[in-house]
Amino acid sequence: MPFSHTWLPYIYLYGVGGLLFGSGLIITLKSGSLDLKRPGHKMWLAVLIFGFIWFMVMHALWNLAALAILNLKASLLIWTIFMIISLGFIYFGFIKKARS
Amino acid sequence: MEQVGEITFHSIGSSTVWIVMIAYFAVIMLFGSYFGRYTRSTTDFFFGGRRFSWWLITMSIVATGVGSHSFVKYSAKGFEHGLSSTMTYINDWFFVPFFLFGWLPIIVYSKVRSIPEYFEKRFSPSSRFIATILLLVYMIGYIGIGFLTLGKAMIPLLPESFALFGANLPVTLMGVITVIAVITGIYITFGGQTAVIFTDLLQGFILLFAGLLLFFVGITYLGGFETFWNILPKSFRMPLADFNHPPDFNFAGIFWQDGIAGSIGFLFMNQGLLMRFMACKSVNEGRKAAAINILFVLPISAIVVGNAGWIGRAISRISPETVSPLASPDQIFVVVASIVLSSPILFGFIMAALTAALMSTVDTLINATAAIFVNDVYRPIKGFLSKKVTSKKITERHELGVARIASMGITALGVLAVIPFNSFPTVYEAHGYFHSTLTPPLVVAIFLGVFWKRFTPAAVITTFLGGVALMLLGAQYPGVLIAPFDHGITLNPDHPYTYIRALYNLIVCAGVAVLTVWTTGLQHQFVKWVRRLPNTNMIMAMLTSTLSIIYTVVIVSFFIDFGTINLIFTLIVASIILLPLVVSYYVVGYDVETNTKGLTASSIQDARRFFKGSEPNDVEGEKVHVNYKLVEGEIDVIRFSKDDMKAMAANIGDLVYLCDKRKWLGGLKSIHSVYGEPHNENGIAYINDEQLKGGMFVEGKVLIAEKEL
Repeated sequence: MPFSHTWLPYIYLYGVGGLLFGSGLIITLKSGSLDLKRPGHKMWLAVLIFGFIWFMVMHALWNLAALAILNLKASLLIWTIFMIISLGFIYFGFIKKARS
Repeated sequence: MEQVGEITFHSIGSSTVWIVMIAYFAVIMLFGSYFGRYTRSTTDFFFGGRRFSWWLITMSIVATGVGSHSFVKYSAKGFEHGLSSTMTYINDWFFVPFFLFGWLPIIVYSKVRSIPEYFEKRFSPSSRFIATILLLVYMIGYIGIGFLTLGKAMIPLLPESFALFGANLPVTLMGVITVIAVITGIYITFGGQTAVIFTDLLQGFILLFAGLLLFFVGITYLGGFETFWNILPKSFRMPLADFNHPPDFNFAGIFWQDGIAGSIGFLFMNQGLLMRFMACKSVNEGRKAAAINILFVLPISAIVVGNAGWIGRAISRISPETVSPLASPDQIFVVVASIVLSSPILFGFIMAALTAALMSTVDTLINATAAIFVNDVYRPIKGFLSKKVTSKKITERHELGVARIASMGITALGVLAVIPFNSFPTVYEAHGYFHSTLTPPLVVAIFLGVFWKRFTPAAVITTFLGGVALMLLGAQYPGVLIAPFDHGITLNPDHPYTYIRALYNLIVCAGVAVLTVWTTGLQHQFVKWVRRLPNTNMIMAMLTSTLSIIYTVVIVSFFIDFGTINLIFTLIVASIILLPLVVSYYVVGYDVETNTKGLTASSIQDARRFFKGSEPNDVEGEKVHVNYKLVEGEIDVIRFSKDDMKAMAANIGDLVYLCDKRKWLGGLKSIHSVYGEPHNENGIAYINDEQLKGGMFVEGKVLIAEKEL
């Protein structure tokens, strides 16, 4: 498999995408629309950063499994654990907090 | 247009399949009609009364998103290129901060009903006019893509021709699309946004179920997930496509076309999607709906829509006689479903779910386009022609009628839009070309409008006209102008740079925007100078005429090749220099501070103040359970007891949201109002007859009240 089909798209996606995402965070924070002093906004900042990592991990594991560097079952297991953690994060961060 | 050697299918499925499909559609239409009764005004028709919970909107967006990024096109690319068909569903997070904390609060708090209306408030009426044209073209094109996909999905189920009164009538794509358009038009015309949201909610669940069912049945058919995984070659297992190869499906092109232009386009200028978020009960609920959708629902949807293609490829590798490797990609979904689902009832159900999903997308878009028509074409024209003041009720009823007629007209235009898109080999490429060509000017204008206070009316109009002119030039000379940005992608002469042209288009639009803003001082100096001259009007008329001639030549040159790029390029550059001068002269009264207040990300607090009409109350309070008591009165306030108001940390004049306690209703029975003078009956909310009708509250059912702002 050529590098152009393995890790180059991944690096480009999260490199260029990461720059755009990071500038989004900086602009919204600097403009005050994402205001960490307001209720719930710290949580939102955490969700935004988590989302970026979530997709980055997902694609990395998928790449590793496709290239047979990591066993398919192991990749799925890690992914499932990550999914459970993220769902717990959403539950305790959004739903339970809102209820309490 | 079909690829050479491609195998196409007809008459797949038995009469049972059709019976199941018709029954499914009947149920869905009845379901939608039931919720049509919640439509009492244009606000309900277009925005569902701004009342719904995040989970309801999240699920209803599934049907819209899955329909537009349909089973057909992703299965086609899954069949041709493998699991990388998912990449367009998993690259939307980069712009989420901009959306959640920029665009979403602005459109809600500024109370705009459409994107062009935002342009008028933020810039000028002329910006609104151009934005309306561009947006209508975008939306109608999107509807065309939806109809094309629907037609392509239905063709394999139909015979090649059928006999009627002794005549042999061929089944054509346009014929099928016309019939579908009539059915779609009927229910959107009479249902409205609440009907759309609820049918989409039901279909969202069904779609995920149907797609995952097909995946599990397909995997079982192949002998398990590991077998399926091992059958696929490594290149087919990769989550992302090859960086720059082949021209019809490469990572770099799709990143710029879909991940950048498409993502911003989908989140920032898809009026249908925005109306869903605007139907949420609050900005925070809209944020939750968007975040959950992109984080979790979209990756699942990627499997749901693409798996038929992956399974089709796996079957074709072990049994080419069952699925030919040359099978038509746009038909592979139907072919695979018919093979792996042995029961005609199941196959009928899956096909019904597929077509219903596509209809969901189309009806959402038709509803949204009608909203733009009423808000940005009908109302301004009516206001200009007639100054007669009518009561709000009469106006609402009249506009509701206009919205319904507009829906029918837009449906017809959507059918016509199918013709140019049908020239592409697959729906995926048609959609890719559409996105990379139509979204950049509006995407750049919205984005800079929201996040750059210095972005002026002159800059936005120059971005629209100058940017489009440079885009037309790029389309005509792709080998010269787009090639420097091609990332090594080979130019396909039939459809040059289908995806990567988005990068060129974004750069030229953004470039024009930035240059115009940077020269704002010079433009003002010119205006001051020209106003001092004795023959100002004549000079400005000459400049305007020159610009008109230049743009006419540019448009003509797109259709008639003048054989020289230099002349047209020079003319466009001249127009980009002249246009801001003319706009700066004619757009008077624009003040950066006043016109951007509450309309840019840096003034969200002003937007919240404007929305409420007074200072927002951010003190955190509790939700309170109450019963309602009907009282006389027409003023739109709800009165609670002093203790309940204290628990909610609410003051008189704050905004309140009152909702039926039953969570599964998702906010369907709810209203927004203002806190009135408190009373002493704890657990009781005083509401009037109009509020009772609006909320459709049921006697004896507990309500939840919470402070909104």
